[in-house]
Amino acid sequence: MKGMSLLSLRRIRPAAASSQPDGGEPCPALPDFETAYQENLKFIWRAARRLGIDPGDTDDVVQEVFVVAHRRLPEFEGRAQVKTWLLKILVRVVRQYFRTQLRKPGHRPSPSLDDLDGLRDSQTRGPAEAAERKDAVRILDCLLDRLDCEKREVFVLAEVEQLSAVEIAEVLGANLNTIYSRLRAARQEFQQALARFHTHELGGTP
Amino acid sequence: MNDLDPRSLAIVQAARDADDPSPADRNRIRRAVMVRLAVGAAASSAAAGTMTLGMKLGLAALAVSLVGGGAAGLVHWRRSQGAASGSAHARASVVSARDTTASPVTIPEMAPPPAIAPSSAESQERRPGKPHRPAAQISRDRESFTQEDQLDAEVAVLKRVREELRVGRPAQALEALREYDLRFGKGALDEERQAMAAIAACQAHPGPGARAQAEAFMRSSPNSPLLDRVRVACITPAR
Repeated sequence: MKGMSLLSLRRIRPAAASSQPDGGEPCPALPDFETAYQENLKFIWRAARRLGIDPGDTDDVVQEVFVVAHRRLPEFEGRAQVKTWLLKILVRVVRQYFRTQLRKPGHRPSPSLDDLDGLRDSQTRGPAEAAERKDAVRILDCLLDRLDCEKREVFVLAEVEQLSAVEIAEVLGANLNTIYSRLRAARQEFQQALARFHTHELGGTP
Repeated sequence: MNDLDPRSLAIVQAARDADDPSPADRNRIRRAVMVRLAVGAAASSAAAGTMTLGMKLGLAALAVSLVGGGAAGLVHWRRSQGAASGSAHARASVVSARDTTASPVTIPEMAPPPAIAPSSAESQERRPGKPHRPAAQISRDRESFTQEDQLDAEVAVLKRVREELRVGRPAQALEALREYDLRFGKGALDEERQAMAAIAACQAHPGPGARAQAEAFMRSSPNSPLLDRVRVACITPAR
């Protein structure tokens, strides 16, 4: 990057908490865009993948999240953490992505457990930890594909991103009880899908 | 709430840190965000009707140069547009945008247009207080509008190519690229066309021929922001 940084493109507003002139409540700290980008790219990228974005489209979705974040930065009220705020944007971008995908002919079909056949071989053969982790990612994605969108969102935010139920409710704009209920169902379905996968792997009935 | 069973937990934990963006991913996305912020500023001004072709090219040049092409990007745009009157505006816009980094949306040099655009040179002459525009200037403006239309048309075709590639229809993408060639020849966005042609070839007919096409693009446009995409599609194995 030459000449400019993301920081220099942000709209100017005080970056740190400052006291009101009348001595009232201090303004909430506004994150600067560069910091928000550097600190959060990793988990936004990962969450986008786990929410089901095609690897080839991850760039576009992540870009969109940060472009929206840049546009909305002045509206950030500091009540939520930057991470939660960005995840909220991500969830909206991802939902829009799937709406667009569904309208397109020939959109990606949901994979079946048979798609993991090649994986099992590499899993048993691959001694390297990196390869095993990569396989774990693919297994996880395949199992997540078995969940419907609502359960997948809750599961990813809870289990992968390790958000609390309250934070998930904030991100998804849903009632806390709904979150608990979806998470319970999502865990159950995930565990069943994994059990089916292992049964399949051992050559038993799927 | 019941926790996950140990087997499920192991999968989630193993996967959690195994899929991080690489430094190349980070840089690529960062550059792309930069371009979108810069182009977004251009688009918002264009939508308000305040942007001439020269300014648009200037912003595009800025965007291209920001993503690593540096002067090469600017040269590419200038060369593509020949000696269009936009060059001076382009240089000015680049400087202006760099100087006004606080706001990517407003660009001071883009003065608002007259409230009512004169429909012809004659009506201009009748309007008191309006400077007379010489015929050569009007001709340049018309040429400018034509170039602007062509640029928009090129963008539209390439967007279609990109969409076809995204949904995995390389044959349709190649067809759209043929249309691009017929309509624009070596257009202003030729570098982008070449990149997409390489990606489409790699999707449609993967093999030595497509790979050679990708390598030729990488050699001829080493600073292209699309380099990584071509590399991922054609050279490195799928992740």
